[in-house]
Amino acid sequence: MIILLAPNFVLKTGQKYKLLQNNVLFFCQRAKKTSLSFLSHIENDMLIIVQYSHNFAPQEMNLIYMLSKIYNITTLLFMCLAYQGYSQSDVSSVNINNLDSSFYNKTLNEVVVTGNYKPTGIDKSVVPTRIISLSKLSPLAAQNVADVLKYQANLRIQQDNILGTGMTMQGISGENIKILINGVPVNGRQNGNIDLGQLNINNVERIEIVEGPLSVQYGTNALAGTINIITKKKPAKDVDFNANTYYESVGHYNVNTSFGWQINRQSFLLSGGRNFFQGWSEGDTSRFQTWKPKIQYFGDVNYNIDLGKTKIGFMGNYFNEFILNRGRPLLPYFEKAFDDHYTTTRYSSSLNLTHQFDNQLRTNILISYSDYTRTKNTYYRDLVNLSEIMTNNSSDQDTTRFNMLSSRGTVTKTTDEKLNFEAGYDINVETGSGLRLKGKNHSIGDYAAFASAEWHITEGVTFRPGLRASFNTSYQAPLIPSAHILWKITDQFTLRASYGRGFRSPSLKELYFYFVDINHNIRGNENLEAEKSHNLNTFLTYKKVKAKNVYKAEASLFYNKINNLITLAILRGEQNEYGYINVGQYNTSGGQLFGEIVLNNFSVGSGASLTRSMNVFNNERYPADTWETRSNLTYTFPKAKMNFNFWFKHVSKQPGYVLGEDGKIQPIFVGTYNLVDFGTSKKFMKDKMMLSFGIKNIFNVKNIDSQLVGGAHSSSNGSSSLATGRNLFVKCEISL
Amino acid sequence: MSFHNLSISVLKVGRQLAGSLAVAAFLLPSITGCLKEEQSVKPHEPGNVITRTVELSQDYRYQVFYSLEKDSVISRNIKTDWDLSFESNTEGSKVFVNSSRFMSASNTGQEAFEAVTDTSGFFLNRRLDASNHPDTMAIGEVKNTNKIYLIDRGFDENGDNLGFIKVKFVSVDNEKYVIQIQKQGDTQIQTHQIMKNYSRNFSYFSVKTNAQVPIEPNKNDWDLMFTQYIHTFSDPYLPYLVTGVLLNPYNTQAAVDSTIDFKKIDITVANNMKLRAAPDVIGYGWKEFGFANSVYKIYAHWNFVVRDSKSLYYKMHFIDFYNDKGTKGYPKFELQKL
Repeated sequence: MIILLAPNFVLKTGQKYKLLQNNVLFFCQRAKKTSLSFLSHIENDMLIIVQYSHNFAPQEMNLIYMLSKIYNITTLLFMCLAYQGYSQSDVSSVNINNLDSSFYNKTLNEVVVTGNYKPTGIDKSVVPTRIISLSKLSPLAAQNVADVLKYQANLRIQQDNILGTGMTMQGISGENIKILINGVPVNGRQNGNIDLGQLNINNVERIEIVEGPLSVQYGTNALAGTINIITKKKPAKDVDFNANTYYESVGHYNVNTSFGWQINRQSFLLSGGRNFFQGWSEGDTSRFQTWKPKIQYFGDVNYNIDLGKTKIGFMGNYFNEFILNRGRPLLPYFEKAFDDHYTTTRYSSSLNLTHQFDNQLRTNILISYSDYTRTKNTYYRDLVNLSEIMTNNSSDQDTTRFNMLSSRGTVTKTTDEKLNFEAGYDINVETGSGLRLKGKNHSIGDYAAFASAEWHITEGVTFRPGLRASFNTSYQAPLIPSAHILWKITDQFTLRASYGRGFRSPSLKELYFYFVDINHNIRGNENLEAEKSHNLNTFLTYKKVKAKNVYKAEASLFYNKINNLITLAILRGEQNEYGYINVGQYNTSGGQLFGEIVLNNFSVGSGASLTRSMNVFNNERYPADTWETRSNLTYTFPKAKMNFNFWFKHVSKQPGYVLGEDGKIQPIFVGTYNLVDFGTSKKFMKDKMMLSFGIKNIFNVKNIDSQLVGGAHSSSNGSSSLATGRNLFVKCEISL
Repeated sequence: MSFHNLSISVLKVGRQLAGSLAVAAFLLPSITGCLKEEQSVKPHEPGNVITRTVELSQDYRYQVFYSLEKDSVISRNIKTDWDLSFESNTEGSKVFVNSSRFMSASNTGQEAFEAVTDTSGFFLNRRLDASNHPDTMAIGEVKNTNKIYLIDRGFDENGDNLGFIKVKFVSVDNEKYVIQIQKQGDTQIQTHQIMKNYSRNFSYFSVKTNAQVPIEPNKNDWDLMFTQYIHTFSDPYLPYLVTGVLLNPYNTQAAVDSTIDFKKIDITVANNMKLRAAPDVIGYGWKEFGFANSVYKIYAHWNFVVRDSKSLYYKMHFIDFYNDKGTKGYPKFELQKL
């Protein structure tokens, strides 16, 4: 007997089924011809499970058990099906006796989409990808992408209490990391960084991290790496309601909710929420706070329709953040103060269309529009009568606006034969305006075409060369090649190697910045060239599954070389004129070791990485080494539906060098720190409710020693904010 | 799935929701966080002093001449109103550039205007009139020079560069200076006379109007000049435009103290202070720009005692750099005659 479970099966009485071919029982809500093309793989006594994602709802687990028991089935065949399609290469089979809930989360073929022709099992992806599944992080009560990434290897988080949270990957920071939401680039950078604290994860399903350039596919900024945030597209059931509340003792009060439903081929998902942070300062009782009070409102709409061969999805997002920076009362009478109000608004909407012409040929078109506005207003506040007035100092008020229209389209031919192709276009038109952009209003258009091929040289070896050519309205765009190799040495060992060129186009700020007044003379440079990089990556992975135990190990090496580094430099010595110029070279290299063992209900993972950054100024080399270790430990009590989690990360002192105001090379550094979080969660009410609580930052880290600027005005060693100290958190999740 | 089934499902969810809301009710306070209102502070008692504000405006365009005795502004001008100032007493023969615009000059060593054709090397050789280095002057003594000076006219209040002029100081006597000027991009060489005005410290010449212009009031009538000027930092060497107060070079002296409470400074205390005639005794250091929060911080404990040309004593200290609307460039001080 063969049972086939197709997408969105739900156990319920009266479930319709169809009998197909020889004794195949087909459970599903809607039968599709394309779903059956792999039936040649099927043997007797199999339960075939076709899934949208690697997460299983409890009722789905029950159904699998029940059906296996009834029909005496021993082998399960998993078809990994993300939202866009699948092929037989994503099939993995498992013995029924090895099945339990922890097993699913660990070994089921996780699916990635970033940089791949189609949703692909992570083991088969040519592009080395890390997946962070949000369901695993639940006990840690991560609230935004910054919380999620802070425990990842080769990633460092920097905190600025006004500009937000930035990140460094493989020793390369800010502008050189591409951030996508479902493949749509996120715009609106402050000081080069997307504020990761503005990316909430309430409706995120997983985060895919690709180290190394994906510039062929994604163009500018995807030089150090790409982070693709994949949101939930559909409700888990016909009607689905979720509500989460979160409280952290330092003063976070968050609430969000989502509601989704499906009618036949259509599905809707609405979500929204509010995050409030009351602000925090160590020991300071004045109105000034180091960590600024913050209120965020956000909402998302998702609509998907499945017309068989054609699938259409619409996504709309809204985000609003208000940060209040209350100034210190002014000397000598403490009757006045300056308050800064920062308001950020993000809108974005995107339309995604996938069409499957036949088994081999498919096309995907994505059109998106994003709008980012950040307003800074300064108020002069009278603390006696509590009135305030907007100031008219030239630098006090500013509205920066970026909007971007982008479209990507790909045509993919995937067969089981030797050669697969992808070709596509990528158009990004960005406009920006702001007080400090010369001429106030600017636009950059980037029009690119790219192509790549996937060549299965032998059974275990896949080679993928790619090329991108682009035309840019503002600068000479380079031709970008890349090459990836996947070698499945044995069942357990996989080797991946890649070479890629990356580039970063000069930002609107670097091209058109204009800040000239009596004290400043800083100008953009319209003749800047793109930063160009070479990147080499190798990954060796080992994975063995034995009964309920999983053994995983990974070793990787990377090397990046960036030329034409864009730097703010003093142009005319005593005139104090600053400008952006293409000087300098920057190299990073390093490696990582990581191992993970899952034994029954216990899992432990541990890893270490080393990064060397090399600044080159005037042909002199300035090396800076830094390393980190991380570990996580999980124990699950399946009967009690409880789990305990420890996460640990040690980050060593991170040295660096900058070109000082006087032209001398100045050493800088960020000090060493340890982060430890503990979290536990338990499910109640037939799994409809989950309570989590824990301790964040057990070592009570607040500020770390650092010196971030060199030059004449710098003081001696300072410190920079990292975290708000040790805190308790409580989280309640309800899903009906 | 039909709409009927959907509505049944919605109803089911609704029932479950009602049940779990009761459970979650204890979490309700956690979702209602909001910003707390501030408590107001009590205003200070001004006491027996007067409070004055001088307008430089946020781009520091004004130069303001202030009299302590009359407790008022005697005159003010925009800093682009003049370029060169000439010592105005009978014996005087020194020339200064307008430092409030970051002007600078370099002696080209040439004697003919045609011989000076470009500005290359200017920034290496140029000199400035920094108030803390009165011995190094941009031009200085012009009695026996017949060389061409290349002069950078500095920046206007918007930060825009005003270009170069070439100047030759032809002669100086008890009554006047004679100079020749060629403006950048001009072939014409103009000759001008600048008459000495003995009741002033300086006579002034404007390149813009091509004429001598009245700037400074009678030297007996003012004590303090609020203006931008150049201060030279060392290690590393950095000439910088600062905003502050310079003393009238004519018989005005001042002292600074940060140890005695402002209220306790009386004539006895003032008499014991060591008065100095340096132009920048008051200077710019009574405030500091905080790079972290972009706000000027006032050092109100820096108290100044000023003795004017009539030997009258005053005490003053700065209490603000912003006006009531929070605009910078409005030094506010408390003042009392001793």
